[in-house]
Amino acid sequence: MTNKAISIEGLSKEYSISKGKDKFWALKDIDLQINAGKVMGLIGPNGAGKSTLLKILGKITYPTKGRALLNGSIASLLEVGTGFHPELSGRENIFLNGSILGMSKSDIKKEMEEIVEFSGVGKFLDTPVKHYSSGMYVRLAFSVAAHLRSDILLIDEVLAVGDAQFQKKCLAKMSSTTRDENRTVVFVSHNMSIARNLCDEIAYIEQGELQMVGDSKKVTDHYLKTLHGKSLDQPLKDRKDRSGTGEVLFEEIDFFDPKTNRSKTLICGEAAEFRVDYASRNREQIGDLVLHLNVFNDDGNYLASFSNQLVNVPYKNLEAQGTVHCSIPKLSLMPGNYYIKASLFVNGQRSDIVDRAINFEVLEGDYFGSGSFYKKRVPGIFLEQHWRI
Amino acid sequence: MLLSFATRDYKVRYAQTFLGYGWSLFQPIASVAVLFLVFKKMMGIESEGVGYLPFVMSGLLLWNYFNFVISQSASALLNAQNMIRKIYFPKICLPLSKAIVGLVAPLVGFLILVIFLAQESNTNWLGLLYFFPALLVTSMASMGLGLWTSALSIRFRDLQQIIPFVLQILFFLTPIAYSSQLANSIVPKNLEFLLYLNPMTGIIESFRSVLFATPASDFIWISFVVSFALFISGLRYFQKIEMKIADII
Repeated sequence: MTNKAISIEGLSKEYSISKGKDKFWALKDIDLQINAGKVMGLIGPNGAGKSTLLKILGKITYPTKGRALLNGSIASLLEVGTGFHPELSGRENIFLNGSILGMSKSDIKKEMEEIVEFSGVGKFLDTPVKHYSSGMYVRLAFSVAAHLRSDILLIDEVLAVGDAQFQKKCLAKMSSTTRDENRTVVFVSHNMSIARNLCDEIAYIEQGELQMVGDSKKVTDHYLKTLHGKSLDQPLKDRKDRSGTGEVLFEEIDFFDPKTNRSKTLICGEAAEFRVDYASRNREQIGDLVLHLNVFNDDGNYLASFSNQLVNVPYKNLEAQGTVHCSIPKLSLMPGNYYIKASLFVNGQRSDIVDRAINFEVLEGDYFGSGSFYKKRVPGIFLEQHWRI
Repeated sequence: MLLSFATRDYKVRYAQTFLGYGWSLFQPIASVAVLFLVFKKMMGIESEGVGYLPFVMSGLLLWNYFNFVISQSASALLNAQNMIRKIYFPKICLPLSKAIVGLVAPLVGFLILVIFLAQESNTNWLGLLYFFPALLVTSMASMGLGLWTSALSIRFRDLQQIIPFVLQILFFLTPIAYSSQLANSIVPKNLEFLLYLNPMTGIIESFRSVLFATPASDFIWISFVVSFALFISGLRYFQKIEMKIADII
């Protein structure tokens, strides 16, 4: 009954690193069917092969084995604004970009007004784009792409940029095009709540292999559970999924309740404390250390940061190994599950970055001291508030 | 798409310069003036009984185009790395569009040539039309080489260093500032055909012989065959590796 927009059969892609000596499989034997008119999400950790899959679908690169059959015209949006030329005006770039993405000149002319209106850069249309703010740049670029008339649209992480309001507009535009015009969308995302809301189905890929395909809620839940399990399995200092120069590394991060010393389980409205152990491999002294502990809720939405830079407490000339503490007098996170993305900078350089360094849970508590407990588990933030008549 | 890339390059080329498009007029005149001073005044080179200015312009015009197309297309893919990794489009448009952008200069040069020719008494005005087929063959030779170099320089970046250097040497080995008679006279007769492996030698010589009725070598055809061969083989090779470009670059 339903016709397939994309059918992927036994698809594998091998990359050779360092002049062909080392090889690795970025994708291994992927089988996936996507029905026309559906939005398929691709999720998985960094380096799982999501982008490679998208590149193969977009004909940017070719598979080593197997094949991908696509029914219809394709537009890919792997990065917003590629192919824009800084010296050209917004208008000229719309034509240039549109034609690179496969629109004809008359199509672009027809859509011009709508593109300009959608992007909201009207006044600056004849200014070279190098004078644009990065937000305007992204808005213009996405507007061109959003107006492409293709049967299949491939999108990678583009929504990570631009302000929230514009992101929403783009999502609305994307979902309206899929419903109205029977357009198929393949969408790579790191944000679980966006993926869940937008996608009809989700495929979870890890280490080049397809782990699970199906209903978006089911797959994201499974994915989050796996992530949860994984970071508990291994002590932080032994984990390999980190980036940065590696000069100074996180040894351990603990987030605990100072009253009970209970680790990673905190109570909303009560005090909480971070303990961060760091160690340097080859330095005797660490010149300037900056820590960022970013709090995300389980859907992958960023909520807050704890950082010595934020409150201007410089750590200078520290010993090669040590511990720093950060105490939070009153935890304003709502009940739910959260994780910390930890980054460490040495003399301004990224030294160690670990996504999902620790997971923790916040239990219900009386944040406002009003005697009423907030029991809903929606991982957000409490803000001080005063109501009057 | 070819046109979009060409318009982009054309518009961007003189962005934020004072002279703007005036550069495309100034550059050929300045180089003719220098060649005139060095080769004619200082060395007293013979130009086969033709005024030196139209003589050198007729060669320079085609050479400059050849030079521009090769040097620009050689780096066309490398300069567009980001785009190649992120968007699917016919990549062959990148080097080929340079042949279109480059057309502005020879057309301006052609007007300068006409002005120079007006000072001459025995000009074959009809022969001036031969400029266009000559330009076509030049574009084939340069696109052919441009395709080869752009495709090869993905793997061998050294080419980016070699090309300007080779083009500079080739400028002196091509009869632009001097006549091909002069070059042929110092090469043994049985090796003369080697000179015509350089496509520009034959193209320029044929253009001059039509325009000024100067003698032409029997080996001119070699240059034309080489031009076609470069173009066809360049296209073939580029198409062969096009799929792999995004992985290698």
